[in-house]
Amino acid sequence: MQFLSFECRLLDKSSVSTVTGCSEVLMTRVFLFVLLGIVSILGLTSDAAAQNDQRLTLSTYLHLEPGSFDAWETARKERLEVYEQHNYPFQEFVSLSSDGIARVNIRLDNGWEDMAKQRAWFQSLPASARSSFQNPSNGVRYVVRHIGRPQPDLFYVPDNPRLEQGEVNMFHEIRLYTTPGSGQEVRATLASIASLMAEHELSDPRFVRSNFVGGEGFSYSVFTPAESAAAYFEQSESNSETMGSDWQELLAELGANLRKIERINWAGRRDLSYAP
Amino acid sequence: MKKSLRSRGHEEAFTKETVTRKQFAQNEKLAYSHTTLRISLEGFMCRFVSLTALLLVVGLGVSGCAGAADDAPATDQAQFVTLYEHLEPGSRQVWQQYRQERLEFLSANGYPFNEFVSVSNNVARTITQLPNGYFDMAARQQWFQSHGGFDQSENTGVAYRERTISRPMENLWYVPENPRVDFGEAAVTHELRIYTKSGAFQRFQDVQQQLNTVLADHDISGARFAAFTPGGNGGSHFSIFFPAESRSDYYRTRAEDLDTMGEDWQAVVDEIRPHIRKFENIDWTRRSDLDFNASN
Repeated sequence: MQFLSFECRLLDKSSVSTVTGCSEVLMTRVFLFVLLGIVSILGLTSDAAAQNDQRLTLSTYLHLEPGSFDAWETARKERLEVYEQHNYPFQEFVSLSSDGIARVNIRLDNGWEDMAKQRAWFQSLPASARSSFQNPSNGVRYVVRHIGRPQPDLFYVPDNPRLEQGEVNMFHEIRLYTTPGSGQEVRATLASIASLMAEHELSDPRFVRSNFVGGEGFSYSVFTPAESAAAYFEQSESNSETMGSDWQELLAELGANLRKIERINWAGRRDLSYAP
Repeated sequence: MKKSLRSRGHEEAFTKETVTRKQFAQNEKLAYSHTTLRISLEGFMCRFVSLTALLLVVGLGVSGCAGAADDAPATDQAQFVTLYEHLEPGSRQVWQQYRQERLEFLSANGYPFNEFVSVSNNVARTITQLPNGYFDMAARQQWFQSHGGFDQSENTGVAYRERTISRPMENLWYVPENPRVDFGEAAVTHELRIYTKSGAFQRFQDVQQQLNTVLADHDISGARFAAFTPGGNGGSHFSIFFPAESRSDYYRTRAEDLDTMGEDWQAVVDEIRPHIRKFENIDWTRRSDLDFNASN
């Protein structure tokens, strides 16, 4: 459960400030929420995933109208109230990209069964509650949805992560779109990269998820936590230097099997997230 | 109201080209007796079970899906997963060869789900019906895990693949008494993909139902079916499917129908337009020779 303990530390500083003065019960709840929320970015802990490969992650990408963030934030808070009132049973973790996309990540421990359960929950809502989700002034231009699965065998989790408690403010995502038929080669290269990172005892973890429904085709998403975008790139350059030519060779091997790469910085917004 | 909103099998998800007109008429009598405007989950499942039983009786190949349901007592709404294979220019023949090999693999290993293939320009579309929704997604995934998938390392002619999961929107179907072209006979299906603005999900359906009333009032003989895809690549969208004998047949009858309905139609369309962000029109040519029938 090493990864779990790492995740505990990630957002602890801010969670402490949030809960100052709260009751013990509330503190426990907030702590669990913060813990589970950040884990839900990836949808798992490595140990748990090894035992449960049916776990899925549903990611909803809300492409916002320019200048409409406040409207979306208001609509999101109203949605959270409906969740509270009707006991929505799933965690949702919200993060924002710098190019106007809000991402809602939903962790589905029981895979497709939870997908069905989630839909049934929405359909069971009274009409008045459902109509609150259909506000045309919610600031959203359109919605894209991905269904993915964590790939714990491709994770790299260092013994002594560089970041201390509360220092993680964002995740850098590299989305790797594979050429058809090269999925296994890409998987093998990503596994080699994880091994190389371990060999050099790098202090930055990385987590991997496959995206197989929605979006522009099959892709792997590689997530790295960081304090900021600048810090991510600074550390990334330093790690590249440390790994040297072995790293460059693996990058070339990876690139040969990709048709497209995207990079996205996701800033966490726990105030807009939800924990049952 | 006419039978514009009557329950009926969705396009390729519930019908086969092998269905004769006579069989289809029998299906109609036995299975499609509901006329509700809005369907509940429970109501839909009742109708779906009836349809599944009927299809089993007439041997239309859903035995594998029924088997999956035996192992999973929980039920879900019918859905379908669609694979879009974007082909490299000039690679249709290569892809067809790959598809034939895949069919052999599915057949040899007893793949339990039906697949229906259509093509449009450089895109091949394969619809897999999931009678038990997400539970069938789980069963399908387990099947591929246990059979090692399919070797796609050779050249398949595919530039990239996209997948979506959609659900039939029965409340938006329009099925006249004597449809001009049955889905079982359609060589072409025209898809009108409608991307609604955020928050317009229910409003769009309300207006679409008004359109169906106009169709019925004018005795339009062309059927149309609808599905909803939450969060596809270009965003959530509705798809309206029009069965036709050919592409020219679709465009000719469409123009005639619009002419017949005139201002009645235009008035409702004007009402729906503010809720729409984008349209796409796609002509899908059926390739039943590349379908997979789980019962065979």
